[in-house]
Amino acid sequence: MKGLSSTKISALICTLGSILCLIFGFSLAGYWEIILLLPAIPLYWYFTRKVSTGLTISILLLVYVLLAAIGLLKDLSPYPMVIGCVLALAGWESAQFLLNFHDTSMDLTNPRLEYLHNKDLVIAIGFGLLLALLGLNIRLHLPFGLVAGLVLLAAFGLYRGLRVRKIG
Amino acid sequence: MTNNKSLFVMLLVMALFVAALIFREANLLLLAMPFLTYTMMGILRSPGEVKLRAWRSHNKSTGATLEPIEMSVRVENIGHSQVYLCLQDSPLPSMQIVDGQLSRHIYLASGEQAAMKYTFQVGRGIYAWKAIRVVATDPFSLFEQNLDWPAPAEIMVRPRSIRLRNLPLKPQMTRHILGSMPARLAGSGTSFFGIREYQAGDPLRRINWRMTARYPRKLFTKEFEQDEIVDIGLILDSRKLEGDDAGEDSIFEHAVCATTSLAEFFLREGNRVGLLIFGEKMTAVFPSSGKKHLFQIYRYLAQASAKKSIPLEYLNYFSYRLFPRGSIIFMISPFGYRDLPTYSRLAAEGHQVILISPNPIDYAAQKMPVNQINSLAYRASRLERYVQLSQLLSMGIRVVDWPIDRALNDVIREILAPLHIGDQRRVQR
Repeated sequence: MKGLSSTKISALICTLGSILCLIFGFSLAGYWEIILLLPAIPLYWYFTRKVSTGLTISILLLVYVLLAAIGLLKDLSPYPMVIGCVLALAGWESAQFLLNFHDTSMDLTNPRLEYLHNKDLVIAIGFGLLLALLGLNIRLHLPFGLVAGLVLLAAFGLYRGLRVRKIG
Repeated sequence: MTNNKSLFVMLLVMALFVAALIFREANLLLLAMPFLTYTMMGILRSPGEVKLRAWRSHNKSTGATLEPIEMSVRVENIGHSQVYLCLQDSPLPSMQIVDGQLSRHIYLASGEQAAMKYTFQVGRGIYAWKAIRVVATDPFSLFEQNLDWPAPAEIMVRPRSIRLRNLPLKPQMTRHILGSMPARLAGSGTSFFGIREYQAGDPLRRINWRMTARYPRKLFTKEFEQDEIVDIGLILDSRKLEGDDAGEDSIFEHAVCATTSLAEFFLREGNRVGLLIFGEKMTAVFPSSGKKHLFQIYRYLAQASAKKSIPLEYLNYFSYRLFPRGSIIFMISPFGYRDLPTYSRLAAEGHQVILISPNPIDYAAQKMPVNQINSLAYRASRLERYVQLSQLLSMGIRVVDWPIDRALNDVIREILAPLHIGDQRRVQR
């Protein structure tokens, strides 16, 4: 996987950053047991080394999102949880991108692929983080029915968007 | 088209939505926000209409078995939008990649080109590619379009061959065209043929002075044997032999190698060569000569495969039409006792038959564990084979019993070397 050093570094940094954010968020509220997560990660990698790498990293993302959700439900500070979740997503996507080049060498004649991927990832994740942080600072008191309706609308919009794209 | 990755992300988003509704926790919705923007980016950047031009090139259209062949697949984006592509080429059976990969991820802006290159080795055969699998996707590989883009190519990998030299053949009948086979006629060859009395016009350098000295009043001239071309028939027995494995070291592959080597040798010497691949599916190449003809023989031999067994008697319907009377017929076959009548008939038709038989007994013995029972079975099988081959010899058929671990050229030369009286029963033990 020559030529993919920036993606490898970003995958590592994002994954570590995600763990640290979650540990920080839980530690602030006195849940020191979460520090056990640090040695648990290498152990997890060790025991799942023979399983498909794509599945392993997806399970890890699921664990991070679950921890962030638990943190939010326990009324912990939302900032480390959201940031941790965003970094986990970025780390997961970078690792998935690296998997495409597993056992192959990145063609140096087409280095834009990595650059454009990273650029698109930063835009998508950055925009998502911005919206989430904005959402944390804007408090709207909406009735449950309206929220449920908006959620359904968002899901339908996502579905329609996919359909239109597929037909196009 | 969604894939597992996009499904996973969407399920995660939905789970967060549902959890937010169940627990009435708005912050959980915010947690889903980065996943949503990530998915939206994938949707926005997913490929619309993909327009490509693809073509293949290879460094050789004809290669030898296990010779490295370089394949290059080039793709050009002739559409107006940029595309993320994954090129995937299908592997051939028994293909070994020496260098490069069969898949490659690339990004192409409008009008750009990129190539996927790999080097591979493969056994004999004719290999054709019709298309290249192109997976057009977004930067995050969330939504994919699988396309098979036409990129045809064909490669023939000819069978292995050994360079044969100076096979000692004495044809009974030749075509009266100058060639390289001794024609049993006095002429302008190089081998000594006899001495006759001098006739006006004979070149002086051909006078035999020793004979002339014995008879002072006469002159004698040396005669040389005329070299002419012959008709050669090659019959490859492609019936499946029990216990013969597939692969480069099988009895059948050795038989194909021997047939190719013989075809190369005789065509190089200017003879006419015909080929019959005898088996479930008969393939015939009528006798001819030249490089183009050799190429045609390569094509048929490259595709030959051992199929189910049928009686050799069916050969009677083919040999008569395919090979002119007096041809030298090389039968390349492991040989079985049921085949005897067919050999007898071939010889009766006026052909000079030579059996080149890759020895299946020795081949099978190499694979068996060494113990007393196997040793006895081996000895019995060898004796049985010896008796059967001796019956062929008594019919006037020359037999080259070829242990496949020995060089074919040496074995043929050893067995077909000029015979002396009483030397007919030479069978390798």
